[in-house]
Amino acid sequence: MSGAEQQQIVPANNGDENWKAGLNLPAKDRRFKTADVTDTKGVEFEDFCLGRDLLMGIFEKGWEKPSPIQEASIGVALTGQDILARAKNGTGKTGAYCIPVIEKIQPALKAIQAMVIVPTRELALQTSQICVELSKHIQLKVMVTTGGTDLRDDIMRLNGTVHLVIATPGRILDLMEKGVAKMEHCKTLVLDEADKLLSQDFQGILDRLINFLPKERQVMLYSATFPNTVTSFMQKHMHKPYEINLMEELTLLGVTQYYAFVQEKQKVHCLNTLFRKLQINQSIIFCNSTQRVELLAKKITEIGYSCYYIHSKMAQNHRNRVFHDFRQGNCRNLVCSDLLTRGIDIQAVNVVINFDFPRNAETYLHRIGRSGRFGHLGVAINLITYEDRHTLRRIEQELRTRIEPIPKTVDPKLYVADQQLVDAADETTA
Amino acid sequence: MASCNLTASNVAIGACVEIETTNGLSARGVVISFDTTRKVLVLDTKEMAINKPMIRIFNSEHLKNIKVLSEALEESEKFARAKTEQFAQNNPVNGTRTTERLDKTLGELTPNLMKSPAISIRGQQAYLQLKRTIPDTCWCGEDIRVLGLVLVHKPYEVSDVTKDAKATGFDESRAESAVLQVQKILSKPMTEYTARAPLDFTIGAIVAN
Repeated sequence: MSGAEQQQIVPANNGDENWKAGLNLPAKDRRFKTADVTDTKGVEFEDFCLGRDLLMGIFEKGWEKPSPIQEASIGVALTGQDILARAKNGTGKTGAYCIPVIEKIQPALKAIQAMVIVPTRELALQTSQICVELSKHIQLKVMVTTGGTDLRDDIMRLNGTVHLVIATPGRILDLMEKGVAKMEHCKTLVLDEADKLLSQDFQGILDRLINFLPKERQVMLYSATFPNTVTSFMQKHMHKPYEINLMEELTLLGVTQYYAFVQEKQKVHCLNTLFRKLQINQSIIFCNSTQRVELLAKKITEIGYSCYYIHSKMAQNHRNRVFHDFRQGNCRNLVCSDLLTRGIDIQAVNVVINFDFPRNAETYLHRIGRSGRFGHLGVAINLITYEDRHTLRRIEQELRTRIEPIPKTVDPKLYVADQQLVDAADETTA
Repeated sequence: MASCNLTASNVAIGACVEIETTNGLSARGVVISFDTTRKVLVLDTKEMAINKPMIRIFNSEHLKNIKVLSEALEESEKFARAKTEQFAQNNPVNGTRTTERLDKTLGELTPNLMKSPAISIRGQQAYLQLKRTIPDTCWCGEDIRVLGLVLVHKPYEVSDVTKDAKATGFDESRAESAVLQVQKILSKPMTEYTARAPLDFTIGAIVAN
């Protein structure tokens, strides 16, 4: 008897819709959403035949309808196919893989059954939180394991039941090589921000890591950018991956991009002007080095504005506290290095400022994707020096986008939440 | 179906109008183009998109009401014509480009064509159920093929799902997972799928920065 015959086929939800009446739904987000997340064929989450407990988690998280990448990806992922998915920043990639991953886990099997690898510790924390919230009605044990934390704690947790691991590559590889993390039943692997994970920054760790997994496994890669380095990994470790590309246009529809020509010594003054004139809910300010992050944070404090700062050289407990507190809205401005370029999702961020202009289009794309999350509106402002002028034009051409001179007054409708609210009828049309 | 009578005199290019569809939805925008012969009304619904341009294309037969909010001004008419010219440039009506678009469209539609006129209603329903969430679904004779791994045979019930062991690059493990998901989808009663009637009868929408 095959596995398919052994498992009983139970119709999803048994046709009972009364369960929806008891959902503890969050307040509806009435902000306008762009076509980046609304341009779908009308599929509903129920159409994927998900279990009721997972559906409850999805709706209680405030996710109402699948975004385009979720619509295109979830159904295929549930069939066990390898996937290579490309979609814009902030359009629901995390949901696109978390939902099928959670759906396929059997809580009764007390073993690691799925693993999500992400490039940064902050992203691991964020992703695990999403998984925990989605699986709140399921007896699922989610574990985060990253560098910078006590290895003994991870070992102790792995001695208990863990179904899903969210990890950065180095730590989980260490645990595997020590025999602590047993992967015999781990048949699902997700690489989020896959191009970063497969870059030289991680020097082939993924090749070593995947060898610990069963040969019969599903591999899913998600990112907004996929360079050629991914091809080699695909050929070695993926079986006829189903490819999804939702990036005919590269930059987010909801993010308006501006630049201001300034001299280096004028940047702080310009930043001060932006703070005074813009209606910032929360902002992320990027610098090109850890040293400049700390220097700028000090300057911002001196001119009378509150800010946190974070970069990769900080102690992990400090990083965690800063990340948590900023996410909670305890501070309006966060100065950071490219540590937070990838995947960080803070809905309250409506302004991104490139205090230092990035050197390549990929970094630029990911940086400005920290605002305008899930189809909402935001602005990205670039402080451009004379030396940056050619880089600006090159990135503009590479991304086929427009970066306009910043006007004297930025229209609040472009980025302020209160200006984006839509009525019910308008929302349907949008 | 009642619809309002649109004429060139009340729908001038560049005018700002508010429309209501027969489905009860409303939109407001600048008239970019209006073709009485083809019954197409094109609006730049800038206000709707909160200062983000979104071009919406309506079938004028499905409009219930139309109200002119402001007459066409020289500037707005110029803007509208510029949009039309830009659209024409981006979508040239010449033999080569038309052929390319037609080939692309046919390429997308061909896998959905039933290969046999004898497909039962249940078979057609099953196809739509699967296609809805698994785009790689196509007809293979009278069978439905999913992801190149699974076949659904007549009479298209849950018990008729099998692995396509003869498929190129067949993988037993993946096929088994796919079979389970296909069976789960087919086990869901059709009545649970909400009808997806077009909300505003929009023919298309073009978002432009």
